[in-house]
Amino acid sequence: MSYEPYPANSHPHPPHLTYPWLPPPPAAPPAAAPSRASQHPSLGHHSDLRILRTAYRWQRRVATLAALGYFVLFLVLSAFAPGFMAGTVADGLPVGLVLALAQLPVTWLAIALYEYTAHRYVDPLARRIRRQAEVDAKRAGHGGVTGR
Amino acid sequence: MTGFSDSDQAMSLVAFTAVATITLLLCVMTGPDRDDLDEFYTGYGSLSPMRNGLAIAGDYISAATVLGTGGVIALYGYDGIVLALSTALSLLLLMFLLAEPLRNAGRFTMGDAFARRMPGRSARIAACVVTLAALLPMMLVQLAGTGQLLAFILGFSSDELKTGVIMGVGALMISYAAIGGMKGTALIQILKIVLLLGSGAVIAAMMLNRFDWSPGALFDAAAANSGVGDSFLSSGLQFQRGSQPELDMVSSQLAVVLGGACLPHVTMRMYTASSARQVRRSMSWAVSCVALFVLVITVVGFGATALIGREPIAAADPQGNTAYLLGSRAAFGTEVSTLETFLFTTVTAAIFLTVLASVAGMILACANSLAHDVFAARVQEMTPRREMTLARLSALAVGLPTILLATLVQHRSLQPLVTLSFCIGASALAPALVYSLFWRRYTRTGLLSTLIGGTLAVLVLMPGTNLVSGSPHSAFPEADFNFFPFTTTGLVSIPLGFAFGWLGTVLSGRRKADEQRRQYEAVEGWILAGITRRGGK
Repeated sequence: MSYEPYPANSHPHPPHLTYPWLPPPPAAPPAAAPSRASQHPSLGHHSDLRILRTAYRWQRRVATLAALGYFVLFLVLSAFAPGFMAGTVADGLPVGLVLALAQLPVTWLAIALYEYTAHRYVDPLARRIRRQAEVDAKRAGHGGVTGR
Repeated sequence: MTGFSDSDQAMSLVAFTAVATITLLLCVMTGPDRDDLDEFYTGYGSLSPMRNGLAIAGDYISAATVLGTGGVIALYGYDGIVLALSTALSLLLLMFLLAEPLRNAGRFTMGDAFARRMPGRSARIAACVVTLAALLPMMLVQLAGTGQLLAFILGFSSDELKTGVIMGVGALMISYAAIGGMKGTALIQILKIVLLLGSGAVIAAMMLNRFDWSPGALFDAAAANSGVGDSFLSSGLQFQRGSQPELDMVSSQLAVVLGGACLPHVTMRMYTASSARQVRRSMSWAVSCVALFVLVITVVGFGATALIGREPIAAADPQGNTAYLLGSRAAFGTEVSTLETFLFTTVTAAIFLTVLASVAGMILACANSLAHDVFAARVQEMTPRREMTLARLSALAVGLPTILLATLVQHRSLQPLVTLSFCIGASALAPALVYSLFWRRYTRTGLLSTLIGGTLAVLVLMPGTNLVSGSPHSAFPEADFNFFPFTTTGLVSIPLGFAFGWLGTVLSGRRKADEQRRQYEAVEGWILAGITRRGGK
């Protein structure tokens, strides 16, 4: 499946974009510049974008807070509860070291979980919005000239 | 104890020459065509996620990380492990929070990412200045450390020779950046991370083998041999000099967590991926590599203390920068076979390559920012060809003063410079990135006050910290102008950086903020979903 609405092509590279929200030239051929104003509303598809925003926000917040939260908790315990961290578990290892080294497998688990949720819940939404934008651009501009 | 045998040194010298030749050749072979900016700045997004991920990990694990963290683990045990974990977590947070929107918003440099919402030169110039301020100290550390490191491995001690080594290695790094561009340096980073992780994993396995594969035995031996007993295995050894060690420790680690991955030479690799999904896959590889590296460096660092003892390590280098090498050497025991000599040579070659590659990546990040954000943005129409020549000249313009400065600071403690980089990353770049990618009302004034205010806060506080003066290990041991009794400035400067951004936005008024909000909504599809980017890619 393709994630890229616009395949790489040999269009000249745009000069430095003074106003970066302007569509880059190949996406909107020179003649389409006046239609910029009409493109913005259609770009939105606001409900779709809102769903995507919510999905992203949820995923980012949970992932970031979980990772950061665990580490901050670990730091605070290390700094302010040395007694607890020095206690030993099986094999004579201190609790602190076990908690520290446990973070590595947890990291791998977190990556796998993040990849899975992103693939399952966020990617399809982003793909739909990109497709929609592609259709809009075609409709607004000169049909099929848009980088195909 | 510290000196390596003659055959080691001869082998290392041969290996270094081979590494330098092969990598330079790689750069020339894979360098970009004459006038293609995308290829020079991003390598066309042509790398597969795995390769790109390895390159990110390569850029991220700098020589300062390998040698510095290895030293902290060997000297302070537990606190060193926490530092290594902070390093890994930083990249994980970059993956979770910033990587995908950053890839969608940015094109070549951090200035692009900011200018996506706030067009105009001021944001770009501020981004460039902060990029330079954050990376220059880091480059100085690596370059100045190179002289010491090669002197240690090859067994010479004359200062002229060290200066000569710094200049030679520096020239090599500039040529990597200028000739290879993103793709050339990516290949070097891949080579480096494979060599570093490969040799490190073998060494770690041998080390564990000596302790019958029991981590407990390794930790106990390290604690017994450290001279400080069980406190080696619990927190507090590293920061005991300050007045409030607990607070110092927490704020230092958080500065690394927030700052490490926001440094521009790491974020610039986000733009090389060809889609958000690619960047996610790349980051998975990168974080996995770094996590593996944390494991390796923990075992080697503890092993160094367990086998050699803390005193000799501190005697070889007060910061313990040579601990990784000493530990690797000790893992072989006293009888060394030819195979083991070869293995050790691989380790030294990996370290040498790490030094070369990290600085090349940083020079490239600075040069790209200078050429793309400052010079090319001044002229309305600049041909790609001219901009690329400009980028190459910028590599030279950044590299030469760095070499000069590195020869000047090489006899000082380099620790404050590393900390300075991380603190600027955490106090200026992290808030600016988070706000500008996620806060809709964030205004230009807010952005500028985050970048400038955060950097200034770090620069003002840094001279007063413990690392700069007031103790025998600081950069100016003979003076004492300590007014901020912590190791890093993070405790104050990180909240300040975020507060400046908020204040600047609030003060610029409701109208501006609403305008900004509309502008953000216009590009939101771009940032979140990656709609149409950079000329049809």
